[in-house]
Amino acid sequence: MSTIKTIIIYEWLQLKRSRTLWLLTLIFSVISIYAAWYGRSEVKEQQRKIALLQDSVAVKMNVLSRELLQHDSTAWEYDPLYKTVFYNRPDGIAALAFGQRDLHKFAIEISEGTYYYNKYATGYSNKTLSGEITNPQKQLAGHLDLSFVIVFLLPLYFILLSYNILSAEKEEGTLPLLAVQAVSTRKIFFAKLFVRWLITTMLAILLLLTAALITGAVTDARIFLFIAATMLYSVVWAGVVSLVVSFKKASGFNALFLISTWLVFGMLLPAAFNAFLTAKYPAINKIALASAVQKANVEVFGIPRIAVADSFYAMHPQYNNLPGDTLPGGWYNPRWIRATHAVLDNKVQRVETPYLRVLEDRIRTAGKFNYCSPALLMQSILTGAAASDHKQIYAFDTASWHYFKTWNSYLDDRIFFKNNRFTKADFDNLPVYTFKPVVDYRQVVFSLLVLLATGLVLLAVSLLRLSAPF
Amino acid sequence: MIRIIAIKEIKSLLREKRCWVVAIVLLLLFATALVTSAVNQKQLNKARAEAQQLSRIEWLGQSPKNPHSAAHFGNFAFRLKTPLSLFDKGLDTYTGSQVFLEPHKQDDFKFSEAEDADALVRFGELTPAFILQTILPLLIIFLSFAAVSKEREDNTLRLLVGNGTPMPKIVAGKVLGNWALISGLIILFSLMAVLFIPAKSNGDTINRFACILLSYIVYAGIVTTISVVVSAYSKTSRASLMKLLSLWMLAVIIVPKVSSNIGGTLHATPSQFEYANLVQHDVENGLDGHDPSDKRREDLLRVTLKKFNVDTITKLPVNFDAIAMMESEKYTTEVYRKRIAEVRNIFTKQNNISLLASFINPYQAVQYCSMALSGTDYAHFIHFQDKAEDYRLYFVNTMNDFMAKHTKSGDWRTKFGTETYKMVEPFEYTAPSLIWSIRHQPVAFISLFVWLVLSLLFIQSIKRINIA
Repeated sequence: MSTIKTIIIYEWLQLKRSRTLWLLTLIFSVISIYAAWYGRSEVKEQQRKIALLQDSVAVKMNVLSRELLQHDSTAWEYDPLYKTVFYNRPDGIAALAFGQRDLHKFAIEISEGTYYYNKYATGYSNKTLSGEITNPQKQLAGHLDLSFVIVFLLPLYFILLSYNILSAEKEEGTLPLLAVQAVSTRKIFFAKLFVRWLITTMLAILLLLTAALITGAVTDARIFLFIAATMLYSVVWAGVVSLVVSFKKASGFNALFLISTWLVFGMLLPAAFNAFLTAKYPAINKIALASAVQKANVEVFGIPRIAVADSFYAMHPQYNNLPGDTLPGGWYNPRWIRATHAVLDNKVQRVETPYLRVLEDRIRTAGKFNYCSPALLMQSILTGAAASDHKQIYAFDTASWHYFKTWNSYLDDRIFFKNNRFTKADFDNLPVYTFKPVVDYRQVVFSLLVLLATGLVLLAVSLLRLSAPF
Repeated sequence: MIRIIAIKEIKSLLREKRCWVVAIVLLLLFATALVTSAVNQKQLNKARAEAQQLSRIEWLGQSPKNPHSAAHFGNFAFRLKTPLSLFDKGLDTYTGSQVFLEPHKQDDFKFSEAEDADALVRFGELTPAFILQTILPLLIIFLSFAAVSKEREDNTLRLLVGNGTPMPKIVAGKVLGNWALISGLIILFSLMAVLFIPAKSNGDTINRFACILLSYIVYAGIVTTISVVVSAYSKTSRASLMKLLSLWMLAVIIVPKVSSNIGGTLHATPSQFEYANLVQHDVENGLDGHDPSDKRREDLLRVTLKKFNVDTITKLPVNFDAIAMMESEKYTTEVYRKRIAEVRNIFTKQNNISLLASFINPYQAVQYCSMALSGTDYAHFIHFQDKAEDYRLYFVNTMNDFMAKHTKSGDWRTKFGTETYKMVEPFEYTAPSLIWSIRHQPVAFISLFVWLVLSLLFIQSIKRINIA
């Protein structure tokens, strides 16, 4: 044991003198700090946009609140003024793994109206539901956040440190000297590999904690998941390196093979999977969806009001307190508009359901592909823990719809269909929902175990291969 | 001498097994990328063309209405993928594919492919352009990292120089040999790609494809030169390989992201909410802030009454509501154009940083050139967006104009049918020409040219190298 310890200490002393180590460490650290700063700025920008929306809505709602102190409101006075903001607020951890947050909406106004028409056709009357303004060029380039550094650059750092652990000894003629030592070459190799793994992991953890300090995620317990994932991801790459080294080829071959492996796991396999999914689930369903929404919109506003009343009261018999109600009146009959919106949403929701099933199927299939590449699996762990993955995006989407329904149901009860007056007390009790991302810890832990198992299997295979004499 | 060294280089590379293995792997990847891109392009174009036709059928088939209400039925404009998008998808994955056109407002483009794609899309897309931009440089590095350093290690470099061959000529010969081989491979790939280009493509597409081919051959030349020059400056092949791999990572992975991210951080994009508020403010208060909508309407009424020489709205032979709506449509379009120009200006500022980075990174130079030539860059998206907006104004005002001329003020009840709807021509889009594409992306083409000149200078710089 003491011999191994000596090897480790001397290996560290030797590495410490290497300019390559310090240069790589410097580059890796600078990029990591930049990534943390970038992640923080992205999160702050989304938070600013959410705050802006909240402030604007709060000002309008305060005016309404003061008016309600003077007199109650009625349906006929009503204009869709009662609003709130529902948001998926990114936190410090999201700054470390920004994931898909830039591709989807993160804040929407909830008010009376049609949810699906706004969502799929136009964004009419709702300033946020139709999505955010984004620069496609920036989206194509993607983020350089900390998850990118860990998933892509950490393996490269490790590969560049370790690709020639034994081959360099062979090429410099010192391998025979090692072979005659009391300790086996295999043990020397693993001791050297361990030192490099330790350097890589310690550096990554240090940078993770620094980044967490920068982004304000240091008090979030999920940072331990990031640390655990980073350690296990490094184990996988240690396994890959040891397996390649076990073929006892020249340094050049090792470097090329390892970089190719990194390329396959980090770029080619994901790109191939993406091509497969794009072919299997082409983005054509939404085209039909938009068309269906347009038709439904024209239908519901074009049919006689009595037909709207029939459809609406069939959906909500509890509101049919005016038997024979035909939703009469001029163009601006709030009951008719509200009923039409509800009928429209109901129609579109039925069209949306099969589309969502296809989408869920795609997400499930993509989830299975994660296990084919450690880079993909690591990315899914980090974005999963940071609640920046696709599942959370859809969870927010679903929650938005439920909040919208609850909000409108509350207004239906008090303003539109029970002829009650809307009082200050009603105003104060408007439903308040906060979106809380639910991290699937079971999935994250399972993925961590898969990483661990992969790393151990690779190390075990290389251990067996390295038992043969050099 | 350069020719002799180049031929020798080609012969030795062809004798190497690794060269064939890597070329075959690359060929298979390219073929896979090509087939999947072609299938995807065909599927999407078929669906979008059908949807465009359906939109037209539904427009004509809507029930009789007053013309303005008919305009509210709306039309869709679907963006078909360009023939060469199968080669380079560019921004297509991130830009919306369709827009709903309706009176009073300019809607957003919706349904980008990235919305439904998962995290995989962020790892890169398997397209022929991805193979040539990202993987091909690695092949070049693998083939040429030892081009000169190996000669140095084997002490044959002294012999070459001792024979009186200047170092720049040795390097030029090696560059030429490697470049010729790689160019042959690119041409072979291109021939494969030609088979997949839609048969209906016109001369412009062929010219674009020729330019793409030329761009990638130039790019390969630049990367080959850098590889051989780095090899010449490196004492050992291992050092050369490490330096080149580091450069590849910087160029392909780090710099594009950093430059784009810095652009986004320095020039913040307004939120949809801020943008919509500004538009609403301008529509209500006027573009100069002192011309409220009520006043605009009053002024228009005064002018119209004067034009028809009557004193009240009821005596007008036309429907003033429709005239007011036409003017309002023109005004709101002006507002949208002003505000969207501001957003585009922000995007331009953001993208300029990446564009300028192409002078330090040939990868970004060829990426921009390739997107422009394939018709999948931001300029082409804007071109379509503007044409769709022009069409929106056209069809809405065609309906409003008809209503103005065929009904009287206050008449919203008179209904018209398909014959009226037929007055609106279907939406048709013609993509801009190759010259237009180059004019809208001059910096990238200039930077690629600058890199070509720099490559020659790099070769010349080898004069003072230590050959030991």
